[in-house]
Amino acid sequence: MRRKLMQMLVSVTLVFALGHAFGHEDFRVIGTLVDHEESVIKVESRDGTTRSIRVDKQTLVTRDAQKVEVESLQPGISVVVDAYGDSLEDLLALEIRIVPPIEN
Amino acid sequence: MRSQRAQQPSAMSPRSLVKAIGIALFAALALLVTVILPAEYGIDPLGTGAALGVSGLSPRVALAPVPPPAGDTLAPVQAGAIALYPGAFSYDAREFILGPYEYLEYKYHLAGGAAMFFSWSASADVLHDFHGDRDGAAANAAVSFDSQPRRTADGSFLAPFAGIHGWYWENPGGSSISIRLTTAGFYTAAHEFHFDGTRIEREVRGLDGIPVQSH
Repeated sequence: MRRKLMQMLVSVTLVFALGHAFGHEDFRVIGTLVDHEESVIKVESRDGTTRSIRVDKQTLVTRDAQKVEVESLQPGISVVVDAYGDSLEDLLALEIRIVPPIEN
Repeated sequence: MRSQRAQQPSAMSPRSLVKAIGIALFAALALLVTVILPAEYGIDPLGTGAALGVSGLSPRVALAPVPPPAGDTLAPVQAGAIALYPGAFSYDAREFILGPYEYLEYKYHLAGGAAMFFSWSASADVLHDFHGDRDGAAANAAVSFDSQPRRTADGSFLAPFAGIHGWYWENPGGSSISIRLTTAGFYTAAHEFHFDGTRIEREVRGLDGIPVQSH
């Protein structure tokens, strides 16, 4: 009976894990930081689109491969954001790289 | 005595628990297939999403993992030193422009044991990884074949398993670069994956597209 119970629990876990895996993709957003509030940054891409991206405590912020404080995210800087989410409208930043100004 | 028993919480038997979990699992699966997949991911195998009007409610750029192509997958049959295929080979030539810090992947579907020749060169240093994703495997289960720093590569490839195989190129700098790729082989489809999550299926060309020289 325990074995059957374990099989059931594993099946349920797999179904939810599958659903979760289906629902998330990696995205990169490249552009100019136009706004930074407490837990959201807004990045304007070269095509003029502005994306809102969530930031949490695990988000790594770097410059020249060195970790820097999140306060370094000031409007006007160029950034490369590697993020994770369901779509470009629902992203959580994993790493934000501050890079030299990007040519247009 | 009777009232005492009535006040005690009734313990669920293991059989009932398994039954309850089974029902919950079935309900979750039914909801996943009939509502969640059509609404969230645009996958509507039963047509229930369209019937309920929930198909594509969630805007998406990225798509589900690439399904293996239907029909012949050009699997080779080895006859001594020769491998025979159930169809002709294809060829493909592309030029990609990678903007600052952009990346893309370009992959072909090959059957296990199928061969491909390739040649690519970049106008500047790129990060690269030649890898494969087995049919049906999770997106993060890619197998890397070569990630040495290169600006150009010419070679041949024998797919160790059925799946999509190809290149990841990343522009590590702030200036645009170009990459030219030429391939020929027993592949049946080409897929282009961009840094912003978009995917494009590219048409590969058959032998009819190669000019014939008469003498």
